[in-house]
Amino acid sequence: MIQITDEMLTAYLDGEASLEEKRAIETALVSDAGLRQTLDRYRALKATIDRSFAGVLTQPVPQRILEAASAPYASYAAPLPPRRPSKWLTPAAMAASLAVGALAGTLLVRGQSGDEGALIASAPIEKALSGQSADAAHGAVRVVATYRAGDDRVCREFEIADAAQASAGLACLAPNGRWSLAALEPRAPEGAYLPASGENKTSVVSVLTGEMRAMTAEEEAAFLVSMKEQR
Amino acid sequence: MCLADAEYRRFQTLHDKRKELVDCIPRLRRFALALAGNQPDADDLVQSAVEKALRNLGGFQNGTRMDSWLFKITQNLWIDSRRSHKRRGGQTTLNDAMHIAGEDGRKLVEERAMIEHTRAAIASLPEEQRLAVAYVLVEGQSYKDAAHNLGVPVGTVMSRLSRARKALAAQVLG
Repeated sequence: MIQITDEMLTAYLDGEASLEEKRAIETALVSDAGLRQTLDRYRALKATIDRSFAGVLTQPVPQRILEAASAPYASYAAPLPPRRPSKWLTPAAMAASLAVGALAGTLLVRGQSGDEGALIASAPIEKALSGQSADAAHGAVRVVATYRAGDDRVCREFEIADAAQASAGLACLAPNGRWSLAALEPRAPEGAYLPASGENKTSVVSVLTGEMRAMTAEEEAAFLVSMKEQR
Repeated sequence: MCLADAEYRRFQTLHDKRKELVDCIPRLRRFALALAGNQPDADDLVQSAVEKALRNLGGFQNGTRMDSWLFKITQNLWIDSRRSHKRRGGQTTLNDAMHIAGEDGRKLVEERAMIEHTRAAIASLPEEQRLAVAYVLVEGQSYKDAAHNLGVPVGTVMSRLSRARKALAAQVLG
């Protein structure tokens, strides 16, 4: 005859008791009124706990948590301190961390105050992204691929050829028709040695586009036609 | 869908993972509530956990459970926050909660007081017992899954639960 311990009773209630323990407990229950009472109390406790925590499952999730969960792609791709949205990727911080220096200065334009400080692509990038003729002046900007993001926005990955520092970027079409930059980062020359360590060596652009669906050539062509029509 | 059973899913993209993460938020709030003892502190915890999870989403392994992964992040944040600052304003003690329940009790039904009382009783348990209760009694996780996240043997989870049950029954049921 197995001695019924508190731990066995706990396991029994949680469906974790072995077959042998289960049998022993059920046999003991027949003759042991004290054990029956303990078990009833623990069952009542479990029911009370269930009732105490059921409500939260059906309550609406607070807005601040939903916002944290739908943070713009760039906000969570970079290692950033938690819960300080005002410090997340301010245009100045973004430009500084890009290490593209003067190049970024000429290519990026700060958004209007209503744009929450978003970085807006400058005219040369804007033209390349919108599929307007890439004449010599915009020749340095080349669109690599077009994506459909999870929230249905269209994003385009591009490269900027520059003698000093080539860059890769990702811009997404904002509802106001402007291209806002999700990321811009220096691109190492081909064949360059890259140290394999450190998360901040990860390409932000590739992390972001990994979450998006690349458009087929037909979709991309249709998108460019719709861009032209809107202008 | 935030899967609670043993069905492990594979995700094609980070976007799929994020969708699953969002679906897990209600359960994460419940888990955090069991740890923090009150909803505002629980939601602070959930917000931090969601932010941290999103930053590490690329590291979430396909074929493992999103809910367990999120619980572990929340658990660690909760333990860290308790170590770093011994709770602003002090933690909710059973007496405080009963005092609140007493004031509210005039206009609120008994059920509400019982809920507050139960949550406060869990919040008054030692940290390790509270974690075991949150995993198994509140979230219905197996001993094995709880033990894995807590980094202790299954038997330890069982004995913590056994002690917690005894204390809770005395406080909640009298």
